[in-house]
Amino acid sequence: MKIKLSRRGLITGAILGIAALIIPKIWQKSKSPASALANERERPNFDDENLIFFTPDEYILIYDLAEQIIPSEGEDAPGASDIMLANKIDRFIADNLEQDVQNDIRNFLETFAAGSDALRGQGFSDLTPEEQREYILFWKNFPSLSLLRGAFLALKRLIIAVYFSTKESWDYIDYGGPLNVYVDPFRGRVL
Amino acid sequence: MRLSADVVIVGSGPGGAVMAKELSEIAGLSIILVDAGPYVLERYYQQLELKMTELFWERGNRVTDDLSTQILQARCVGGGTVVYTGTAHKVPDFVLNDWAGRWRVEGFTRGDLDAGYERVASNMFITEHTEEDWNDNNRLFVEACTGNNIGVENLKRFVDKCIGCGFCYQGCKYRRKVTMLNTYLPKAFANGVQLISNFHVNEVLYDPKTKRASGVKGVVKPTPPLAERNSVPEGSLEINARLVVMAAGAINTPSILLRSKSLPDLGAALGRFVLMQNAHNVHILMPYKVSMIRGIPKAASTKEFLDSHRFVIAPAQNHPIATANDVTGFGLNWKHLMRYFHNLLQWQVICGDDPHFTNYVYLDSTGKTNVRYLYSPDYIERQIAGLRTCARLAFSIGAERVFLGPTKNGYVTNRNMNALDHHIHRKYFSPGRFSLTTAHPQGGCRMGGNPKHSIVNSNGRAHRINGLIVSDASIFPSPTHVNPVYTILAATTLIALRTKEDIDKLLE
Ligand SMILES: Cc1cc2nc3c(=O)[nH]c(=O)nc-3n(C[C@H](O)[C@H](O)[C@H](O)COP(=O)(O)OP(=O)(O)OC[C@H]3O[C@@H](n4cnc5c(N)ncnc54)[C@H](O)[C@@H]3O)c2cc1C
Ligand code: SF4
Repeated sequence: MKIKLSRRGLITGAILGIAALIIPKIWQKSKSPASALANERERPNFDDENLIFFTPDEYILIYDLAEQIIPSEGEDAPGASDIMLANKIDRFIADNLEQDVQNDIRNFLETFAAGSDALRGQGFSDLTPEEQREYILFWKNFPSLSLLRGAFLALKRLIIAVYFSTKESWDYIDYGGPLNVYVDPFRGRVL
Repeated sequence: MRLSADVVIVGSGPGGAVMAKELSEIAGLSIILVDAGPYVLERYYQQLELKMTELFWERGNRVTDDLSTQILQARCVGGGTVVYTGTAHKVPDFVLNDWAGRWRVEGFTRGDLDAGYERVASNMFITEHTEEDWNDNNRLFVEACTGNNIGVENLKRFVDKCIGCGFCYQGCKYRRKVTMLNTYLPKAFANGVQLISNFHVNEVLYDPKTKRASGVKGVVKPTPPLAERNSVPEGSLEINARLVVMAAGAINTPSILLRSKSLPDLGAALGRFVLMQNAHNVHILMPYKVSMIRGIPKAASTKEFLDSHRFVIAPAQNHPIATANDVTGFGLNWKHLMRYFHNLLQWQVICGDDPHFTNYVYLDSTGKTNVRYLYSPDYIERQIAGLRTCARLAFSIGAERVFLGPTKNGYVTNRNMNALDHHIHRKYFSPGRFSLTTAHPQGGCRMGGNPKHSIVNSNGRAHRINGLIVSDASIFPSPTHVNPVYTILAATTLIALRTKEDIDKLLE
């Protein structure tokens, strides 16, 4: 099977096939006993029609993934779900990213979801939070295909970028954001 | 639409702006300068990390094809100078010796380049920072170096009365940064150079009758909000010219030339010998609050390891998004760490890789620009040495944890202090495991004396066809090993002056 190494061709059917073959073997080796409890977490009711880029399945996947990366802990420590980060990411991708990058994202999400199906017979969003965390760790350290590690890193970068563009996240880390003031040339430096 | 001029220059970064200004001093020469990016004046910069990625190619997400390395390049009028910190280093002697010795580059001796640097300095303002300019990030860096008997020097930057707002990477709203927008370009425009922004050049044209490059072709895209109005309407555009100057930067210049199907073969080295010169970010967690995001971003640096290991260490300045990407991990622990954002210092190890034919720019099946890159073992060793040095320095001033990539978990703690060589190791240097970023790509259209190994000669002129000059970072045969912009400005000044001298012959 020919692997297309170009970034744009990255998550093509070919690589998806390879990933699906490799993932179960490595996952079996790497996973620790996970809770078999059904995942009964609450997710927001969302209106399909409000989604611009994501399909409903993709939305739920990103919703859960973002929450794993940036978990909620209450009001003064907002996590992804507290600020509806998945919706913000949806809008950001639709408004700002070029078609080929959008395709890369879509393909990667498909691969990410396919991996979970292949391993567990369950979608990522049906895994328990612990299992989701393990699955993310597995991607982060993906042993043989650096491309897949890199793709995961890129997706994580996107989630982080949108999160740290929000006022809520700035308040959390006490970041002032733009100075947005006219600095008098004679008043000296901002230290 | 079709336009014509004596000279068309593609790219308005340092390489293109210098060419435009210098050639515009020739009376009666018509010049069109084009750029794929928008022309955004300083007052519209918004100091927002994500928003300002609009000024970068692929919104800052251009990556090598194994997704291991993020390649930051500006896509706006003014090129990289709009988003740089303005660090102004001269190229070390060993680089010039390598160019002359190994790659038979003539006319780039220390004396030649010094003349170039001098002319640049007369057009750009350079500030030498002193102790007064140190914020905590700089002060602790200097303390760490001097405490370990490592020499430091005051850093020079292309700034004039920098107020230390900390938003250099988002563009300087206060016009304190000396860029192409407030130096070379206004001079070129005053001399009659026409600017076309948002013009994405797809290919260089060739006239088989005269056997010369004969212009460029591409598409003028819509002008984004807040950008200056364009001088031509949207749509396809062809510019016919007697001299084509390519200054679209490393990666883009070779990519455009590769896409130019009507051009004859420019040589096997086209797109090859691309050079990654990475700025490896190191974030240092201190037990108390420090100022990193405000104040002069870089006021000192150490070049003590330049001759022996070819790396430089200097302070740097990242806002939350870039910081959060370098502080590896996810979940609650990671989130809690980000709460200590104001306890973080940031330093950088700048280290360039050697030239290899097997590192190259190519067009994928959809015609998009891609880069295939494999780091040389020597580079990895040197980079690791730089990171170990950084960690040692950081722990010597009381750091608790240092985030730097090639370790088991992406960081080392002060408990690992006595075994840093074990914890920071090349075995962890595998693509995709941590973020690698280059803001200094070079090569891909290298100059040299041998047409088999290079594309242009020391005057920037293509070996194999007439009417084509390359004037940007893509001509460097091996990396500068220090921040490159001063050397790009000086080298392209030499090329511009030599072009000026021969202009009649070149236009024939
Ligand atoms: C964030 C950042 C910080 C930096 N800080 C420093 C620093 O402090 N000191 C230092 O020495 N260096 C620094 N650099 C590096 C420096 O800015 C670059 O090395 C330098 O700008 C390269 O000059 P250039 O002329 O070769 O190309 P560029 O500056 O990249 O200019 C090329 C221009 O060509 C245009 N172009 C590209 N393709 C096309 C096309 N198809 N059609 C039309 N136009 C096109 C681009 O839009 C761009 O404006 C930094 C770079 C970045 C990104
Ligand atoms: S730190 Fe200085 S040069 Fe950089 S953006 Fe602020 S004022 Fe301008």
